[in-house]
Amino acid sequence: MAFSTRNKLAAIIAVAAMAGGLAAVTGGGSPAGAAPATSTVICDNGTVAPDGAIEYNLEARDGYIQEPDGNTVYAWSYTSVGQPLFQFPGPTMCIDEGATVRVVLTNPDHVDNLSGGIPAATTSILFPGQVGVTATGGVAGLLTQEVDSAVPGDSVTYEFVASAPGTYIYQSGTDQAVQVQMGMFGGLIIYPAVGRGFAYDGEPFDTTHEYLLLFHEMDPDLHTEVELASRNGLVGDAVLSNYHPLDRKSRYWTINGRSFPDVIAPNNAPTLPTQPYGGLVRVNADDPTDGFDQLPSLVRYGNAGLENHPFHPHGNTLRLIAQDGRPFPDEIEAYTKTVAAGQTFDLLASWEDVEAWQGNGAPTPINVPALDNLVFKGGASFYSGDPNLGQKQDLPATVTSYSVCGEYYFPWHSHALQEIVNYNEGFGGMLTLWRVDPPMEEVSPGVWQPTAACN
Amino acid sequence: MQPEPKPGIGRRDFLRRGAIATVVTGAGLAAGRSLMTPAGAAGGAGLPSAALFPPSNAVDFPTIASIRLMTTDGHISFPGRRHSSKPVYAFGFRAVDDSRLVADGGELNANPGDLMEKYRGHVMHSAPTLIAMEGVEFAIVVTNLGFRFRPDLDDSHTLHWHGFRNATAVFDGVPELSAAVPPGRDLPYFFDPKLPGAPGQPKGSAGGYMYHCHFEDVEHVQMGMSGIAFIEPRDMWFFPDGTPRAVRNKVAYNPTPAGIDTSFDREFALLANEIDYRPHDNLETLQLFTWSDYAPQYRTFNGRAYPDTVVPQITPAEQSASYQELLQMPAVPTTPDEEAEAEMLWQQNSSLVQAREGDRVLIRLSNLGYEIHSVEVVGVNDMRVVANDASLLVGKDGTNDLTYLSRRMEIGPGEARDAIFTAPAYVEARAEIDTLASRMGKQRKFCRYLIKSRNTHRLNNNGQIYPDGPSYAGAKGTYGGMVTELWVYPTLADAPGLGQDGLPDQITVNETFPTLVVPAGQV
Ligand SMILES: [Cu+2]
Ligand SMILES: [Cu+2]
Repeated sequence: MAFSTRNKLAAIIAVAAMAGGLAAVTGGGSPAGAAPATSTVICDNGTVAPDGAIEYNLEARDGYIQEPDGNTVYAWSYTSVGQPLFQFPGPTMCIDEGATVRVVLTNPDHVDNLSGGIPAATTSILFPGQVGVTATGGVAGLLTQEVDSAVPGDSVTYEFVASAPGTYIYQSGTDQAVQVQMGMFGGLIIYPAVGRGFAYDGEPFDTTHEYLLLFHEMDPDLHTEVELASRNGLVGDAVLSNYHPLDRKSRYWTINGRSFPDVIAPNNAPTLPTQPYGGLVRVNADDPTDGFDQLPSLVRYGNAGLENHPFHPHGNTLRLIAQDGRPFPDEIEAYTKTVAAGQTFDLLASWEDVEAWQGNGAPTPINVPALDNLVFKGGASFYSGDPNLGQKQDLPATVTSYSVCGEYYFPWHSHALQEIVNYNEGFGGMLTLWRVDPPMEEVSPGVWQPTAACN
Repeated sequence: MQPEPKPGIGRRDFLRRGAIATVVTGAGLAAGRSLMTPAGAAGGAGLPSAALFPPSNAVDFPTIASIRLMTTDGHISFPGRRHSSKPVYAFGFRAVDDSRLVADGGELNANPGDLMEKYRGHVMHSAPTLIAMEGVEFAIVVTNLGFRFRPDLDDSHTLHWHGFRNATAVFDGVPELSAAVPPGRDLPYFFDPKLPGAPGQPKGSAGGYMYHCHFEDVEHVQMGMSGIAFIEPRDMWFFPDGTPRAVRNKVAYNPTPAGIDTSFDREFALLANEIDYRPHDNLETLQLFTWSDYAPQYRTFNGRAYPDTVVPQITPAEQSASYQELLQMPAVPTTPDEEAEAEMLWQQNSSLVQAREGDRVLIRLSNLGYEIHSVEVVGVNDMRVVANDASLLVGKDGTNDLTYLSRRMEIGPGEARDAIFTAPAYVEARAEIDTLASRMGKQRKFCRYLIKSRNTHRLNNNGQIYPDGPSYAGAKGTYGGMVTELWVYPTLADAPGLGQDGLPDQITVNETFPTLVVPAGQV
């Protein structure tokens, strides 16, 4: 059905593309021009304290995030002390097994939008999955020590030894229905002692293709209530006096704090200054006959939201290797995995070029009809115009092509399809793409590189 | 009145001929009942040329196993929303009734324009169940017939085979990432279901999948464009050494070193789904719907809400081939049961599970709704879940048995499970007369069990339990929605008295006894 809003979709994609949102896809769109845009995980490695501990200094901050339908949403999150802009979600902590981790959380001593702390009486951080976490300072809360916002500069120090490699979430342990919903969460990765090229002992992956996808969903009504309270200087119970939890209705669904198509904008896209983390997944196709041992991409799911989300990649079945930072005894395959609230999974993603699709002639015994007889939705397409991987042909003259080099694109999305909308606009929300590039090429004996045209 | 058996098109005929060898060598021809298993060589020669299509839409019709799915709109029936009152507007896929090649007098590659008059406005929900064979390339030709009730809309459609391994972008059916089919056009989707590699290599393609339209997905999927697909394992049709089997080996997955038993006697595919009639109504009345308001009133198996789920499978006469037990649907229903059955003319996929005591029953469960469901077989405590998302639950190197026993299956949107259970006891003392069989002049008795969602607060039809539906639904007036029944019959050997006719062997998925047959042209 032709919603009036439908026409907006093309506009959103077009705008995202122009604004660098699709630079990863169109290539050359990034300000630097040459550097390939990426959305591989951005690691915050912390700083090394004199005693050898890995230290993170975080503040509970508020600010604004953008939705692709033009809406702006007030949100809270963790942000590194000294960072000019609030960021959503919090920084991704990357830690090596065995390290002592020290996280100092401070609530700034002032409450005003975009520069201060959150209008909550207290806040805190929980590290689910970590063993032996100590918390010192602040005031005693239900689940852990909490920062008291009535005490200027109050802080809590959390400390643990990173003992179990895997994918984790950190999140507020205070008034979670509000604070986690407002955005108080981030990702935490512990690499095994064998090195950062492994997800777990014995699970190597392609280190240039490591992705963290954090899921979350938002009811903008709650965010608006909290924003009004913030402006009025309210804290604590008074914040939500006009919002009833039973009225909660999610309208925006995000991956790494962004809704599609913003999700596929590259890391640190200038158009999304408070949402630095992209979610486009890439793999290099594996040609089993070419002699190059193509490792799989590693994808880390973390559901930081309050609801469960069935997450589904097109294109191939994935291999599940771990849950909640604990490896499975053996691999389980899935083409859809429901990720429960608070749950994490580690998955290996690969795509086999078993048919040698890259340019060895007609891959199919049937002919695709003339493209003029088909429809390209919104007058734009990620389709290369050619069924072969790594081959490109013209699309009809009226259609904009986002294809760089004949790579394949597949969606990767929540299959609760009402979650892949932005309020009511389709092809949005909790959706990303994965991009399959042609197999690596041997540029000189034993030296393998990605296909130059695709880089 | 029994329809004339049609030679060469049904899998049954094919099996009787024992001509298994032609399964893969025969050129493509869609078999009866929407099965895309290439059933026999008939018509293999003399494939039609593209000239049968107008030059502007010149599709070379695939020379491989093919099926044709048409997209259109229409109306479907739920308790409280009957065809006589206010049926629910829907979009959907449907197969041609006569899936022979045009040259053979069928409709497989007819000009789209020639199909419109007959089929436009005659939606099917859930969509036809697709069956493919591992290792056999096939094509699905999608033909967009346009809408009859909203001719102002020019929606395109696509076909997305959900979960297909190592898919190709062009045939993945995502309109933003490839192309879509506008009204009046065809697009063949090509699939190559891979055979399994060696242990440690990618698994084969066998297993349970689903398919749906991906154009305006949140709308078109909810509007009804969803169905079940599965791929039969190589081991079903061939011995490990490649020799064709004379008799179909009923297994869901290929053998592995772990020795997991996936053999079955009867197979049933259940598609869990929901209907929120508000967007359906809005579409019909040119209103908008805010999709984040989604809150369904009906939960369904195979596109029907209980008690409709137990109405037998409905098959067009052209596809019914030589079935032994056929209950022809009268043009004008005269009894309450016939009326209840006539309501399902556009929802032909039954969820009735019939088995003999002790049979191994395979349930292929998938979910194309937007909610997570928990499905249980009441009275069965040791159901073995053997596969997850078309992947046998075996470890990476094929030696670890990861299957598990359960009495329920939780299943999220887009997920699939294969589970096998042993049909529970037939207890003479509480057996009931199979009135469906009685209508055929047969004498059979069965014991009734329920297969249902455990999310019991959802087991109603728009908040009510409407009393309408067929008389043979046992829990009618108690439940609505995502409920169906398991009817357990005595084994043939000990069928006494009223059980004397026994339950026939099942040949294909979801086959019911009897099957209702729609005379040509009725829908
Ligand atoms: Cu999809
Ligand atoms: Cu799907």
